[in-house]
Amino acid sequence: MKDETMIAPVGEPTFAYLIVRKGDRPGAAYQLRPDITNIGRSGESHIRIDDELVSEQHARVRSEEKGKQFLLSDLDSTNGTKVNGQRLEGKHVLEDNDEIEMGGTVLVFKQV
Amino acid sequence: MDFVSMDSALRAVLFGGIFLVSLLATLWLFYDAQERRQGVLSSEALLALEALAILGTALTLPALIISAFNLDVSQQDVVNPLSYLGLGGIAVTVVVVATYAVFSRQKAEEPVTVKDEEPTPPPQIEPPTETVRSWEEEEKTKEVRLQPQEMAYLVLKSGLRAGTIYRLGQRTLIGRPSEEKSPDIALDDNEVSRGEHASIRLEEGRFVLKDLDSTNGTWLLTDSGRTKVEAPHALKDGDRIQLGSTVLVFVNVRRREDQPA
Repeated sequence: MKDETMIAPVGEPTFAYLIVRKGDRPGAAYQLRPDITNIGRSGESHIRIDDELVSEQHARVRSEEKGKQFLLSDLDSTNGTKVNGQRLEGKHVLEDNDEIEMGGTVLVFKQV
Repeated sequence: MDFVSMDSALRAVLFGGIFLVSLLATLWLFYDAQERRQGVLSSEALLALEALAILGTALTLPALIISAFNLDVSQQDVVNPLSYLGLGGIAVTVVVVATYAVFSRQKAEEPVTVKDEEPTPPPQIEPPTETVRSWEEEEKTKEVRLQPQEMAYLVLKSGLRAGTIYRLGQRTLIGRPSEEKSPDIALDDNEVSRGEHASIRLEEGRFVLKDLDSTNGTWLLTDSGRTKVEAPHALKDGDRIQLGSTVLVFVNVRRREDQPA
């Protein structure tokens, strides 16, 4: 969250969010970016998760169809990513209320 | 009426009062115009009214000066004209301020349509926004076990700040910010009531929307139209709420197993 020199993402703001259900900041809501949103323990991540079991660069959400569709992929993380209890292999098109689990953290995808 | 024969002390008090009233009315106009939107008045009209109010106040000054300084007989032939000028001055001020008071409170007839005419929102420069609420901190330290149904949000769907997400607390006030009151969710929308327009309260695990006697009402949007929120309404995930020309979407996070099939 400290990267202030970041180049503005191209496109309109999305109406898609990841909400921390379980983790270091329960209840926090992160708006997904119109291009790529990186999730991880690194300070460079767009969504920074303070969780020992989460890799520095853990997962990524890519916006497609002009912010109508969001693709989640794991970035070869050490402990992997689960979506709705299933281990994520390859890409997953996020749907409303999808639960993303990484380490001890659970994020919920919401789109309005 | 002959002001020359009037007792000079009484005259001084009279025109002192007239000047004060005129001055106060003018000051109020300026203060209020800055404070509130101008209603149906154009900015040119507002400027003209402000100029006239100043003029009116200025016209009451000479009468006060000659009365207060009790000028001698040689100048008494100006007492009457200046006194009438003073009376005219306060009349101008009063009419101007009254005109302002009426028109500034009149709502523009055409509701402002937000969606189509608004410029494309600027791209987000900042990384994803988070909800900022003071009690988020409390949760961290107390390690409160959050009931999933208590994680609820409102997403701003219209306007320049579309996409902003607000977390709902025990009681969340929605309205247009004013000097006295800044609601939890502050909407910069002319048609939203100042201070308190609506509230959302957490009652027995449900988020209940209530209109707080707002001028333009609180509405629930449906596919076929909209219904006015007359009685408190328990919100469901995805409910679209309209206040003025602002649309907000209610988001409730539940556990997956709790979802209706």
